[in-house]
Amino acid sequence: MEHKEYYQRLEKALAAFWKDYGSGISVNARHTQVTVEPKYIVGNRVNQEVAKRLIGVYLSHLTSDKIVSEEIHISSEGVKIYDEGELMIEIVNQKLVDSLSNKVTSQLGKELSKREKKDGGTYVQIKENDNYTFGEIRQALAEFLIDSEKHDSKNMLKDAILLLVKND
Amino acid sequence: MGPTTASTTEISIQDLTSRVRELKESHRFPQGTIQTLLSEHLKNFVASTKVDLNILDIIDPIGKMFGCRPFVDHVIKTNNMFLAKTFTKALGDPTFISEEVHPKSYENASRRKRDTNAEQIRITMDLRKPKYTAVPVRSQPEPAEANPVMASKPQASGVVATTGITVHSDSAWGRMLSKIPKKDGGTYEGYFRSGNGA
Repeated sequence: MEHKEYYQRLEKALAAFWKDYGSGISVNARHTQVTVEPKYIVGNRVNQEVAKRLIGVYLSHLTSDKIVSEEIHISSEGVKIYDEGELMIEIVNQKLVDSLSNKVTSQLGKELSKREKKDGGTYVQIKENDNYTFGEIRQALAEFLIDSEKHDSKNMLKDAILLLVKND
Repeated sequence: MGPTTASTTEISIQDLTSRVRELKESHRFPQGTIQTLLSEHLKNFVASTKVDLNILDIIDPIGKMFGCRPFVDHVIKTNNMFLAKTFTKALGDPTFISEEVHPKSYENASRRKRDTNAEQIRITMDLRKPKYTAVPVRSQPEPAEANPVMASKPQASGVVATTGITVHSDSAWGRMLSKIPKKDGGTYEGYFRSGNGA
């Protein structure tokens, strides 16, 4: 597919995406109605606002197996998104990184609140809206990994997710 | 009314006001002509540079004379750069502006100013980086313009410094879209399949 054709299709796909996930604004005047939609490609690049929304939606569909299968790398510097082993996108935007961290924290919290400890109780107390703090999750993960038989403590997060996924 | 901050704005507002008054007093004005003139004035001085616009300064002449309710109400209501840009562009479409005089609009502006306890209501517009377009849905569509994006080879990859997002592959966005579920089922992958443009 040529670049021009690819971009025409990308623009159409982005328009459909925006219809589904974008924040639509409609203005009603007396004789006309104006709907506001972004210019999807600006200066030969995807509009920054659309790009941010796209990444946000992509990450909101994140499942733990994507982290385990190394499609998503999370570090303190940012997030790297891979596809079939090829690095596609790197994010250092703090807001997006934070949102992803919250997502992971909340997923882990949800899982750990269901797991029973050896000495009774669960690793974290179940919370409304899965609103767990990073400290709570870190503590729970440490306990969970101590109780688990196999783990490589070099990467606590990945080990924990792997264990949680495998135990499902 | 508060003072304007940019001399270009001040001049343009004065020009605008006196020109409109002149036309109004001469009783030679079809409503649409004046509104188009207003649109052009607004577009020109906003597009010329980054101007710190005082919204009340704009709506004072317009609000008093014609209303322009959608512009006045919405921009003031949102006090939002994004919408201001949108509306400024939308003003290029004369059908966008209400033709009916609506004295309420000026009252609304004053009320907003009073309610927010603001000395002035300001919106900064920077059209050097236009991001949004307004699409009239019930008026005649404009003829499609040659798309400069398509004229040259697209450059999808590269660092977008302001967003902190680096794209490493030209096909990254397409591949990412292909993995997102559509609200009505399926994925956006269909858009990228050969022989399928929709």
